[in-house]
Amino acid sequence: MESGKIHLMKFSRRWQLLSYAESVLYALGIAILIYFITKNVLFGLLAFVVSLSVLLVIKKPWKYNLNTTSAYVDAHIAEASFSSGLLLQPENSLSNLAKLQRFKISEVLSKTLSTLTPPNKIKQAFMVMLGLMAIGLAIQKSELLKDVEHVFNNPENEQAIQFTATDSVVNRRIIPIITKQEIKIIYPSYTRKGISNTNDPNIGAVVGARIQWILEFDNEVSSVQMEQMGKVITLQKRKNGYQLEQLLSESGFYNFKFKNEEGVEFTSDLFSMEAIPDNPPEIEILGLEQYTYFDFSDSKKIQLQSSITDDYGLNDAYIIATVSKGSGESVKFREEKLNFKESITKGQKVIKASKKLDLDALKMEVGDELYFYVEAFDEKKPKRNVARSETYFAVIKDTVTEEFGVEGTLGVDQMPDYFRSQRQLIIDTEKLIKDKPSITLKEFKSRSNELGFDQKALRLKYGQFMGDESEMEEAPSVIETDEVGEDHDHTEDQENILKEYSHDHDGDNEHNLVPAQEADEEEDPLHEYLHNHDDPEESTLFEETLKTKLRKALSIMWDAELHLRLYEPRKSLPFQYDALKLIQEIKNSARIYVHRIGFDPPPIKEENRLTGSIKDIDNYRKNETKELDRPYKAMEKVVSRLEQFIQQESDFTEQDKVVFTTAGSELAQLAIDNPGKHLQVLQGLKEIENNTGRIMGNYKFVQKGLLSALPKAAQIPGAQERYTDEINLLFLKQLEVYD
Amino acid sequence: MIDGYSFLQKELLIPMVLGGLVVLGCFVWKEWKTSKGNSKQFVLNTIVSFIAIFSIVITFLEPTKEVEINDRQALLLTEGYTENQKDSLINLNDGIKVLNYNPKKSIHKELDSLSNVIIIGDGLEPYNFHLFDSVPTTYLPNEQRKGITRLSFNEKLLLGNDLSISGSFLKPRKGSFLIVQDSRNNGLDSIQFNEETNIDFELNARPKVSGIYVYRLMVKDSVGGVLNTNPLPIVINKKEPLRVLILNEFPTFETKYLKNFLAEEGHEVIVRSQLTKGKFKFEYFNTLNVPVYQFTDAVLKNFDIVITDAETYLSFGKTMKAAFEESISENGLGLFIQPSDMLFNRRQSDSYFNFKRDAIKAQKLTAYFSDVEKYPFSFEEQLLVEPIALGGVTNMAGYKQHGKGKIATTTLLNSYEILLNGNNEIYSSIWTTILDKIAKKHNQVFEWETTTPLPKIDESFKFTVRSNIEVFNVLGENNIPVAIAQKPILPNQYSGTVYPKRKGWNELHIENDSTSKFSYYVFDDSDWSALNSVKSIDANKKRFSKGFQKNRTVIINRPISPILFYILFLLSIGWLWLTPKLTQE
Repeated sequence: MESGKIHLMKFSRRWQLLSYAESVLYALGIAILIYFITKNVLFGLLAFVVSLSVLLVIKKPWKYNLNTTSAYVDAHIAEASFSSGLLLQPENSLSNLAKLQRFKISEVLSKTLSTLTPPNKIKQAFMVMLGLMAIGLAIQKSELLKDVEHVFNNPENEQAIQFTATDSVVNRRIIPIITKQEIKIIYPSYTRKGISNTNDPNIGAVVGARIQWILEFDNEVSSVQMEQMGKVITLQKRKNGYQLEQLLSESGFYNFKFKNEEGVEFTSDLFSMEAIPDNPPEIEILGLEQYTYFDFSDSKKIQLQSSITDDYGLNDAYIIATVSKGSGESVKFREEKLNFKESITKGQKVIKASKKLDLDALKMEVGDELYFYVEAFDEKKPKRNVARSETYFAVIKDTVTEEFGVEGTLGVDQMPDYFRSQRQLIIDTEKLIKDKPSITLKEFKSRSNELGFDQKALRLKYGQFMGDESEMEEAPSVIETDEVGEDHDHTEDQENILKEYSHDHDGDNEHNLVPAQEADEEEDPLHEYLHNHDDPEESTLFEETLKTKLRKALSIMWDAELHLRLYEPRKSLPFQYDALKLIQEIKNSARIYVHRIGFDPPPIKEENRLTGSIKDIDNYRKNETKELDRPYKAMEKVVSRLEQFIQQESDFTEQDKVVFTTAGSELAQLAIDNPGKHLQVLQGLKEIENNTGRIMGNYKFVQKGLLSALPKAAQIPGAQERYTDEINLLFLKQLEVYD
Repeated sequence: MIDGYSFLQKELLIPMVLGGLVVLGCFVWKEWKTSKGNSKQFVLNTIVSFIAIFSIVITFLEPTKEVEINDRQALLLTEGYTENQKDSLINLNDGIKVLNYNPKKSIHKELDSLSNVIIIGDGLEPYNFHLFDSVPTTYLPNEQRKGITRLSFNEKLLLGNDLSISGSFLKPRKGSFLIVQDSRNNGLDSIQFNEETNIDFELNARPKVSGIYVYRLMVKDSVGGVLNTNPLPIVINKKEPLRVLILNEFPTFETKYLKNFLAEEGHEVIVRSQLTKGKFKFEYFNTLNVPVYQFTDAVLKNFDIVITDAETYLSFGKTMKAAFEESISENGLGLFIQPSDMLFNRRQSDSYFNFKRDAIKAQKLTAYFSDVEKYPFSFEEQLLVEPIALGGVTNMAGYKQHGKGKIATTTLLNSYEILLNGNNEIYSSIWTTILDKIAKKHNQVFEWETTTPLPKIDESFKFTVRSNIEVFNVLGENNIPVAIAQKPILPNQYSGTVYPKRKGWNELHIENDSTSKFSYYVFDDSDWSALNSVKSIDANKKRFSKGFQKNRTVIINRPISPILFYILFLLSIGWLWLTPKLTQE
């Protein structure tokens, strides 16, 4: 390449560089000015970058390429004679004359170009920069924009603790400023969260966390205190600051207070401290019915799968299984603690635990029942949180129950009849079917009808447990088919009639099962919330599952009775068996209640019994002082006091301070639950208390807030004062004469 | 002065006469000098100069003469008059004098020369009525103004009781609201007006705190713009705890819940229930252990209320009962008899009350839309038995005045069931009503009352104090003593008048007694304008109800024209000027 073109390129590069330098100088000037205004390097840097990029976009230094350079050279160097453009063109594309000129120009430019400086305003840029720096310095010296600096120097302005003097007269003096504000949240070790640092004085942490505040001031201060819900805690002095450590046990609000060298008191805004409770573990048992029934011949195994979760980590979890044996007064319980198949690792947040419960391994026999639930603990200290799952039941069915022997000497049959006679009915029905060929039709019908009546009586007796009223007896009328001959003809009709009264056992919805019932129940939206004694469905004699079972048994008995009344004992028999099965189950379930209402009567002193002596009986005395349940006493006082301030009848005195402080903690309790509504009022109350806001507007605002926060006044009786006039008394006495 | 004549410039009389005499002396001396022994001329000139000086003196003194007239009418314009009415009255009555009424300025002088006055507008302030005693006056009443024209509210109430405001609103704007607000404009109760007639309203609110407050009754339009607002000054006092003795033959649920209710509210409660013969169970709440066996006057004096079941009370012996009755009638003790069948079947002489069987076993409390159980009896009307309204029902409880005290009972059965049903508010309302009614009233030394419904600055505020104390001093603002007058027939009653100088709450109190204060609120002139105008119109109508009256005859001094004296002066002074010239010739 010829030297001419090289020079041209150099020139072009120089031009570009100068242009860049110009932009940088301008940008530097602006950046320094911004720095002086805001006293913040970050803002200075930001200003530099922004202004530089803006300037570059405006000046576009990259546009000074070879073409523009050659145009410039042509315009400014006469020797170039407008031919520098030739240097840019490929040599072989030129004519001879052009080649000659090109060579000549190349020679000329190598000499002259070094003397030519690209057009620039670098000096001007430098001057502007100096000027901006000077302005910046001047601003800094004069402290003209102190507030701006203040704002910009506190990017976390709302987080920094601001103080105001409690005596407004000295407000103009220097307020000691917090130079360092460190808030450490030391989580309890079990949470494995360690220590977290924050600048935000509004703290939210788990209960049991320790919170440490370290405050450093730029000036000498004394008696730095924290006010927290009526308590005043002094911060400890450290090397170059003040420190306080507190255990977070309940939510609340706090603020800081200190005195400067002159003894002027300063106070900060209110900040919240939220104690987030450590929730107990949550246990979910997957895919298991609350009641599981086994026949003796079944393989009696239950697959228990559970998922246990906790917010900070689990400590332990196991299954508590109780086996109940026997019935009536001889029932016995055996409790066992079973561990899950998986070992529980401490500190895990989610655990999937399973266990195969083998009823045989628990030495359970026919008729025995197993109640089990899962218990889980978390690692909370000092006391672990405990959670329990619902109780699940597993029963090995026992259809053959020993009958309670009633001795002739005992006058009272303690076992109620209606727990036994379904079996009797079955036996009688079977006997009737067996006897059918040997007896007359009339007798068959009569016996079948009698059995139907017994079945009805039994059903009604069970109905009592459901809370059914005796009116139920009238409800169904007996369907009578007098003539046998018509039986065949009416088969189809009968089927239709039967549909009305019977349940379709071949259908899907055998025994009129739950969904159908539920659909009915959903009709009344209030149903869930009512405690309606009129409705037999709502009787609370039995728990829910038991009740549905009994209801089911009753409807099956209804079918059994129907077929007996229709002289079809054979059809009735399956229903009777179903009913028997259900009744047995119900009977066994009822045993659970023994465990719940166990009561040990105190021993009776036989020698004192029935003597009627009250010699040793003394007067009974009980003294009790009930704390008057009026949690907002101080707030009430403050409201009436504020009214006096507003009416300008009185001024704030030292005695008021105590009441206002108490009212503050009362309101803080409300503010914890509803900070949006009461926090500002609380702040206003504090301002009145510490003399930063004793102005009419604030009085009115606080009173309004307190009035709306206070609950409705209760109606209570009380003594009143009344002036009694002698003349009135005379009048009353006179009246009595006529009575 | 000669009858019928006088001078307007009475104060100038003596200097003028003296001056006249001096000038006359000069004239006489001058005539003496110039007449030179011409005594005839001297006498004549002396008389003429006297006439000249006399007439000039008279001219300056402006003589008047009394005349009787009976046609001087005046139209007195009071607040709220209409221009139309004024113009038509001026048209009808020629030469009628128009006067503006300002209650703070006396119009006594103007009235003296008037033979007849017509008043239009809202009328005069009652304290100015006496000015019109001798003037025939006709009052043409204004129409009633729109706004609240009738108002009553309990300005003194106890914490826990409702503030109830009732009144009438004349022609409210359709869709506007009437709102009662507490001292800081929290709305408490409101109604919306749906028609533009005269509407009676009733608003209720239960204040939350005790103290002295200015509530507000505000009229807002349907979008919330304030149309009108008026202050409702109220004084809310706290109730003091009661001292209650409960006597039971056997423990009952009724007593158990009642005693818990009372004890939890901080009352001093002693419950004595019999366990067996001679053995009792004593329960003390918020008080000291002092067993109560005897019911002497000294023991009963410590209680405000005795609650006893009918079995206990009715089986007391004569002396015991007499002790109770004595305590009730002399000390004002309240006795509540818990009902049972025994009570209803007794004769009245035993049980104080007459009952009749009504076979109603449940009663709906109209105020709460809730049913309560009751005994199938109701109170029979008796002279001294007053019903106690429970939840809007008046035949379920009653009390009998017995001297200073009261004996009460109820037909309410198993009131604790109300509590168990979760209706705490109804339960506390029922028992608060009953117990408040019969509780012993602690003696109040001074009772204050005012007869000025809406006190205003610089207007008279009349009050009465009742007290059994014979010597005491009432102090007003800045501890300035206020004169009080004892009523001649009622020696316990005193009355006084003050002229408040300050808007807002003012206070009267008794010297050396900080507890007996009386706070009254001084209203702004613009407060309750409609109500004020109605009251004023009514009072004026009553006062000037006689219709058109015959004009009275008034005597006024009519000035005598000074021209005559002036001419006389000119003539005589002319003569005096002319005579020397004539005699020289």
